[in-house]
Amino acid sequence: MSYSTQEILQSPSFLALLKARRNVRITMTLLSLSSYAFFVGGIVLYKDWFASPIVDGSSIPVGIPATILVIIFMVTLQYIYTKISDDYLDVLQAKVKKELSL
Amino acid sequence: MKYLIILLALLYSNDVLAASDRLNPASVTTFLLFVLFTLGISYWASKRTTSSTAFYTAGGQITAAQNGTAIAGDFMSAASFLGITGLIYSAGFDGLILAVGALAGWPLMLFVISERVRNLGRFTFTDVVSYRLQQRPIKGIATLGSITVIIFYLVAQLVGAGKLIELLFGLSYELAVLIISLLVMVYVTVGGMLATTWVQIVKAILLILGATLMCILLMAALEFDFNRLFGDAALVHPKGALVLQPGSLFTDPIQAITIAITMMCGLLGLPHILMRIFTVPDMATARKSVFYASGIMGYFYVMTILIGFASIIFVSTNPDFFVDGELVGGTNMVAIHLSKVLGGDILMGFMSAVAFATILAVVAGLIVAGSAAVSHDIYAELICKGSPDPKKELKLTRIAAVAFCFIGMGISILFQKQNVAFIAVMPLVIAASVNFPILILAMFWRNFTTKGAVAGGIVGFISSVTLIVLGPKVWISIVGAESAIFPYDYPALFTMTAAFITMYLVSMLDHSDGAKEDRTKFDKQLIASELATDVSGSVGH
Repeated sequence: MSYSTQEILQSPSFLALLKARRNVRITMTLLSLSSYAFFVGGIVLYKDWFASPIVDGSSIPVGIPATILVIIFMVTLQYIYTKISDDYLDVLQAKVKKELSL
Repeated sequence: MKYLIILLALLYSNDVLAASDRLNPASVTTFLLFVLFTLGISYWASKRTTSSTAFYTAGGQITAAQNGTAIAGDFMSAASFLGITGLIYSAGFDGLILAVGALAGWPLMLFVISERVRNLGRFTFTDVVSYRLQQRPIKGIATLGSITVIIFYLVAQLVGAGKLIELLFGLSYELAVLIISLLVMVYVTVGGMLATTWVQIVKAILLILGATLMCILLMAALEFDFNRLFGDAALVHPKGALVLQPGSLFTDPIQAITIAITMMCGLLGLPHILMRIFTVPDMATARKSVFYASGIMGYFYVMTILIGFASIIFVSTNPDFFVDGELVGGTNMVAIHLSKVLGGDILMGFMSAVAFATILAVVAGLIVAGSAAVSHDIYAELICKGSPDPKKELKLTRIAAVAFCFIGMGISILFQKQNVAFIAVMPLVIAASVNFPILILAMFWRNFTTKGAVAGGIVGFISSVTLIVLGPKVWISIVGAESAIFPYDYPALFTMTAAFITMYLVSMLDHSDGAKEDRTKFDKQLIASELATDVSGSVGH
């Protein structure tokens, strides 16, 4: 049985997939943008804090480990997203396709 | 073969013979061996490139790890390795914005763009945006954006390569750029996407290994004391402790914000990067590719921080690298100078060869994407309405590749004294102002129409090119004026906003039959992009 475009769009399982994907995408995007904004903020807004040493007597400014943490955080977010997609969203998608005979 | 003959003729020209006295045998031998090795890869790939599908997208049969490494290779270009280290050398902490900015777009690429684009099963960026919008007008503006982005990106790579060859072989910059362009023509016309993919993979691995070795050696020289790395850098740099603080380069917050937005959004509109998403067989592989790519790049950019600050200590204090108070090769060459300090002529030759192969492969990838835009998007789709003469299409591909090389050469001579990382941000401005808004709205906004896309694309294109020309990098450095008409180098904050507003307003005011059709097609696109119902088309193309 083949479904029309409108029937697919109104299918509860397709809407559930859309909602699940949207929630994951928005959450991950906001987290990523926040970490980037934190880094740009260090250059624009709180320069002095970024310039201060990580501990008294150190030459390493806070900005350097903060930058490295932002990089690690962004890569980690992508790992989490890939896992969620592999283990949950792809399964959901396969279910929708099976249900709609696509 | 004819390109090799021309190359040999150039190698024995007077200029080259005169320069031979200044050659460094160990560096040059290592360099030439590596270049021959990558040419061998290109030849090997050519035996496996038997169709246009294989030429453009490597037949859709690249694995996630391979593609991820190749994507990383594409992005860890001359601008990243030579430019960012050079910028940290001259400006310190503020140079880091290019390292983090280069990475910031990748999460968004993964979360928002890659799956939907891959699932649509299309061929180029232009194909993707014309899925639901009217093909002829949207292809016109999307191709214009793609080609301009490719040319500017090409210039950044050619400047890096020209400086590298100038430094290594003692040739004039102009001749160096000419030789590189000829080598690129060999790469592109022989091997296509499969060759560039494999060269990217090999070179990305070697670049990571080489940079890791440099980091180990430099930290060993500093007794693995990070305090010493940053403390000594502040001690010897003319800016003193300011080199460890934000603000030495971006005194105006708007400048920092606009460059940050340019870096992030520009990536999402780069046609040659988007094209790599089509080289894998399915969505899960595309997703993993992006993750692998950003993991490799994240590691690499952390290393550029160490290399950049170490070069302040080891290069700026070494008189061997200065002639008349000027750094030999300019700041773009500090990573190469540092490799010589740390590992002698062999490491210098190796890193130069890796950097050069990086540039060749990136330029080759760009030219494949640019040629595809001309022969596939303009000739085959727009002019021949999908029924091109295959012989003419192939001929046009080659002519376009040669034309791109010559245009890139001409502009790169004008930009030869600029930092390559800064030049590489210019195409990101155009990508962020033209391609990105069209792509994101076409994928996610139902009310988006063709008229809105074309109007906004034109506004984004004209405003970005105009403001780049009127900005300090061109108006002062190239034109020679005393002050710039527009104060910011990278105007994406303004031009992208203008493009989005125009797209929104024109789309909302568009009540034509075409607009209704565009909106109706969005539903079909939504299903295809979420459920991968059209994905079989992309594998076979």
